[in-house]
Amino acid sequence: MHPSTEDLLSVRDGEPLDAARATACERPEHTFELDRLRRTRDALRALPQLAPPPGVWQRAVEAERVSRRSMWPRALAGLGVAAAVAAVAVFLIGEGGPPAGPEPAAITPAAVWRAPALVQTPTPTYTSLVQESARLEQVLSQISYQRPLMTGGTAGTIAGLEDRIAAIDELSTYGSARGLRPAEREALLSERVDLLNALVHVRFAQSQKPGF
Amino acid sequence: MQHSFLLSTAAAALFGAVGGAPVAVAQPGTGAEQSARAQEQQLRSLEAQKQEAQVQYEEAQVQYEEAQKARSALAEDMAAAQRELEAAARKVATLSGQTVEPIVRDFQRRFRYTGQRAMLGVNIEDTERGARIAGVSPGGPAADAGLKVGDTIISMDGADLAAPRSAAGASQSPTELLLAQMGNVDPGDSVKLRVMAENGAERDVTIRARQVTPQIFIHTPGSSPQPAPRVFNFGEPGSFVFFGGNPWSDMQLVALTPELGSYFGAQKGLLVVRGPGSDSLRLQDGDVILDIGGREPTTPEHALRILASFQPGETLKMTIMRKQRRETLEFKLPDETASKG
Repeated sequence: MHPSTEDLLSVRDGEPLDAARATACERPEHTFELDRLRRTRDALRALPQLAPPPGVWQRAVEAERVSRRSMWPRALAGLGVAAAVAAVAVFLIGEGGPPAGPEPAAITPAAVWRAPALVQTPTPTYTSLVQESARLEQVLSQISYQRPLMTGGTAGTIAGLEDRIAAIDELSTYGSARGLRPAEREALLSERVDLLNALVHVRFAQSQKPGF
Repeated sequence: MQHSFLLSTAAAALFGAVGGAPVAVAQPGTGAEQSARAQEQQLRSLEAQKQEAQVQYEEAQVQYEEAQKARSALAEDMAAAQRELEAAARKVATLSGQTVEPIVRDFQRRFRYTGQRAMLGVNIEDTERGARIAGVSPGGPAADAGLKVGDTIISMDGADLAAPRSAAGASQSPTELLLAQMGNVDPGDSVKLRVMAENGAERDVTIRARQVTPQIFIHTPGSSPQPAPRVFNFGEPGSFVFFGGNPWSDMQLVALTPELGSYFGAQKGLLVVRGPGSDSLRLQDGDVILDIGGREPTTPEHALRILASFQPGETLKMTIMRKQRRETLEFKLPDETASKG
């Protein structure tokens, strides 16, 4: 007796399979398929738990809608959306987790100091820059700097970085309505990430006190 | 026996000299000798303990002083590292700004862009429901109002941003509609937004628009005049110069808590923990800044932002509390104190 398709799907989905039935089958192709599915299942189980970043599905749906309206064949558009989603997934897996969770952990030096890693990659994509920008905003929001004693120099640097980011945001928004080219939009976003990164580091250093 | 007597006497004198309790000097005699001997031993023991305690105290004092030195060195190291980090951050930002400068210049040439009058502090993208927030400018009006990445602005001051057609029949994107609305907004105006969160929940948000920082906008021949340069920004037009090397850089500020406020006689304001190095800037340790040129600073960053809006040589009025008395300082900003950050 060899496993049915339902049995194989059960293995794939992680449900218990009647061991007697599974092992009773001696047909090599079925044994091979069973082992392959088990390996796949184990590999899937070994993946880290990931939650989609905020708005990823909405953006994917929006991108898909735009693609439908475009002159490109629908199949190609779907492929583009899939590639974008896959790129996000690869990025998240590579980074070890999403930028934001339902209950974000307390900010740690490691979370701050790994910030430059992505932006220093040779060719960050627009998607990865969007993700990094969101992650840095999340990190920034977790740094406690309420009512700190601050020098005029630090305050000036922070105000300058914040104003610069605001100006970039203003220009990007204006540009998106006036025909900013994709490469230009990406360059501005890249600068936004650089500035956010610098701001996170300055804010984090400012929040640290000697442990006495 | 006489020797014992003298020893006990000397020991008693010594103990008394070092602060111990007075001890009666024993008189010669059998009982008295034993008593004196016992007292002598007790005194020797006490003296030994005292010397041991003295040694321990001195050791502890040395350790404390070493710890103080280490702490001071660590604090100095941290301060130095922080200064280096801030300098590096300014450099990164400056270099980054230079890389996008051609883009900004080209954009300004193509669209005669000189910037909006007022901003909300968001980076938005179009969706069918409205303008989705892709980024919130840190410290900006939208951030202060609690807007987050993923929120969608559905309407602004009652105008639906998802409206597909203008009166002329041409389609307008949510971003275009929002920008058209913002064209009627001045810095300081309140803007009412209807916002939809990612989970679909809608809420009303009121935001006070802020002036757009002019540094990024590049002055090119033939374009409209640029906003006046800021006191700490003397870079070439278009270059972004920080005011980290500003005359206020040594000043230390902290926002008042209610407890601090009651002590200094002010309900709100910024406490000057350490005044700026220059006497011409008039602020002293212990002053509380209530307003700068009529604007009330809420954070040290806000104060620096206000200070940076004054030009070199301009007269600055500042209301402060000094020794629980309200005073108005009026002084001219120095002309040549600015430097690139």
